[in-house]
Order: sequence, then C-alpha cells, then structure tokens
Amino acid sequence: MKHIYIISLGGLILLMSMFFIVATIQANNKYRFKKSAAEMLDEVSTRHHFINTAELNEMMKASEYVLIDIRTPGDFVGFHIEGAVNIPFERLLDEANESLFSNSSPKILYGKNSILANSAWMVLTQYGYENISVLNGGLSSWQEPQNQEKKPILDEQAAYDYAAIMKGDQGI
Amino acid sequence: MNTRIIFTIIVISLGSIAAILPKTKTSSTQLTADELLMEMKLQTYVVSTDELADLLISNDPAIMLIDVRDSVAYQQYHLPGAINIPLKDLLHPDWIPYVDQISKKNIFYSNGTTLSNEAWIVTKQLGFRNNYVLGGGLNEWFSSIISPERPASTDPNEIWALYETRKAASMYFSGSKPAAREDNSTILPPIPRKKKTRVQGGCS
Repeated sequence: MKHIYIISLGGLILLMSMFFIVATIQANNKYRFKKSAAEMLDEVSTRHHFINTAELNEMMKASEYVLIDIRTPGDFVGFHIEGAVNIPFERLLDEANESLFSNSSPKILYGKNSILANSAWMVLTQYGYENISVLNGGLSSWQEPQNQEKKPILDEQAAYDYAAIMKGDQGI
Repeated sequence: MNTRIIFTIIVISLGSIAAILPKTKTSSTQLTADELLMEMKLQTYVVSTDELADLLISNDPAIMLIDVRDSVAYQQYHLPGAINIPLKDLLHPDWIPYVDQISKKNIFYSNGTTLSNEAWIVTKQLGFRNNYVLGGGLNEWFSSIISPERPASTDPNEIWALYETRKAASMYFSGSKPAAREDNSTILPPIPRKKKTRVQGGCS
C-alpha cells in the first residue's frame, strides 16, 4: 500500500517537472527570431518599409492606422504628430503591446530621425510582426516639408562631396 | 527500503529533466529579440568619429573598416584602409570570414548610420562578434574630424581642447596623406571563428 503512495508521489513530481520544462521552453521561444538573418537582409534591401511624409499623410486619411512614437515619454509630451501613441524604444516588446503589433492594420514607427525607428522595425520584423513602416527622416522630416518628396533614405544622403574635399578642391 | 525507492524516483525525475534540457539550451552568442533591443538602446556597439580618428592615427592594426555602401560610392571615396562589402552582399560566403572572426575589431560605416546599423543587426542576429558601427557615418566624420567647426571664444576649455585635437586629426587625414598605410594594405583574410564540428566516423 505504502509503495503505491510513494510511486504516485514520484509520478507527480515527474509530471510537475515536465510542466516546468515545457513552460521554460515556451518562455525561451517567445523572443526567438522568426526570420533568418538572410531573409532580413533581403527585406531590408528592398526598402519597402520606408515611407515619406506625403505617404504618411495619405495613410492617416484612412480610418485604421497606428502611428507609434518611439521616443521617450518626455520628448513625446513636448511634441508629437497628432494621433500618435507613445511606446518608448526599449518597451516595444512588452507584453502589453503584443495585441497592437499583431493587429492587421498598418503601423508606422517614427523617432527623432529614422535610425532608431529602423532598428525597431528590424527587431519587430525579426520577431514576426508584419505591416510595419518607418517614417523616412523621422520627426525632423515631418517638420520640414521640403523633404516630403524625397524617397532615398535621408540619413544616408551624403552631406558633402567627400572626394572633392579630400582633393582640396573646396579649400577646407 | 522506502528511502531507496524515494531516492530512485528522485534520480529518475532529475535524470529525465537533464535528458530534455540540453535540447532547449540557447547558444551563448545567440541573442533573443529583447536582448537585441536592449543592446541597441545602450548603443555599446557605436564607435564615435573621435575614437576612430585616434585608432587610425595610432595605426591600430586590430581594426578593420568595412564600407557597406555600394561599390560606386566606395570608389569615389572611402576611409583609409577600408574594404568594401555592400550591404546586400554582407552574407555572401566570400565575405563571411571578414564579418565572422575573432582577430579584429570591425567597424561598419556608410554615409549616415542607417546602412551600417542594418549590417550590425544582421551580423548580431547570427551571433557574430567584434562588429561595431561608426556613429553618424561619413557625414559625421567630415563634419567633426575633417572640417571641425571652430568653437566660440567664450566656450569652455574642454571644447577648445577637443577642437584642437580634431583640427590636428584633420591635418593628418587631409594634409600629409598616410601613404604608407595604403601601400602596406595587403589585406589578409582574418582568422575565422572556430566552428564546433560534429564528431566524424563511427559505424553510420
């Protein structure tokens, strides 16, 4: 009689440890990459995810969109694009935001410029979220309407003629 | 008798845990997405233009500059000693020994920080080490090092000291060209990181 009791106790311990293992596996899987590095490189190279302010204006006419400001709450309070929600960069993968990103409506990320927003886009895409865009140039291009029609990555525009400067043509 | 049974059950349950665990263990170099997010926030992988100027002037042999722009932009101008790996070719088998290695400090750069940042994220995802990004890229390099802005006379001494260092660096890079470095630049492929290989042989 006593043996049966001990064996069932042991079985219970075994079962509990199994549950524990399954739980830890799932916790580990939560932030596993869903896209490989090679896939990410292809996706980045297409540049489909960069939108300019004109395209943003167009998207904001539709009823369904989520505009996400990834700067700090302090910056957000200071100034933000109307209708934007604030999710600071480091909190993007918080559980509270999961439903927002898995939603099918278009999502637009912006920051002070587009560098950090682009990093955020890469992480979210690696994580498997879709339909996310990045505002080219970020808030600075929103505030400077002359940048509206430019499609190349604003941050990557050469600010100088490097070769000419190094030859001494421009007398620096 | 009872203690022996209890002992056996504990050993079996611990054993079964041990048998399952190694499969789920993540490699120490493989980051998860939220760790990646944190590292990006802390910006520990960003090298400033001042740091790079120091490294280049001291002729540090342990750095490798990698220009991730296209080959046209690279041929027009590139930093002294830099090699060209266009972003789209980053994971080409020919370039893997350069981006996945343990002997040098790789610094990715582009005109701004977008392309170099993307290159870093992709290599980081694969667990490659020793990769860094030039903060602000060539634009920052030219505005801070090659043609530094003269501070106002009322600025504190530290700002003037920084300006003087930068001006000296500027003369180094644009005046007397470091020709020796270019001539000696037979760029050897770096030592590839050791990969764990499976044990071969047996009776399979």
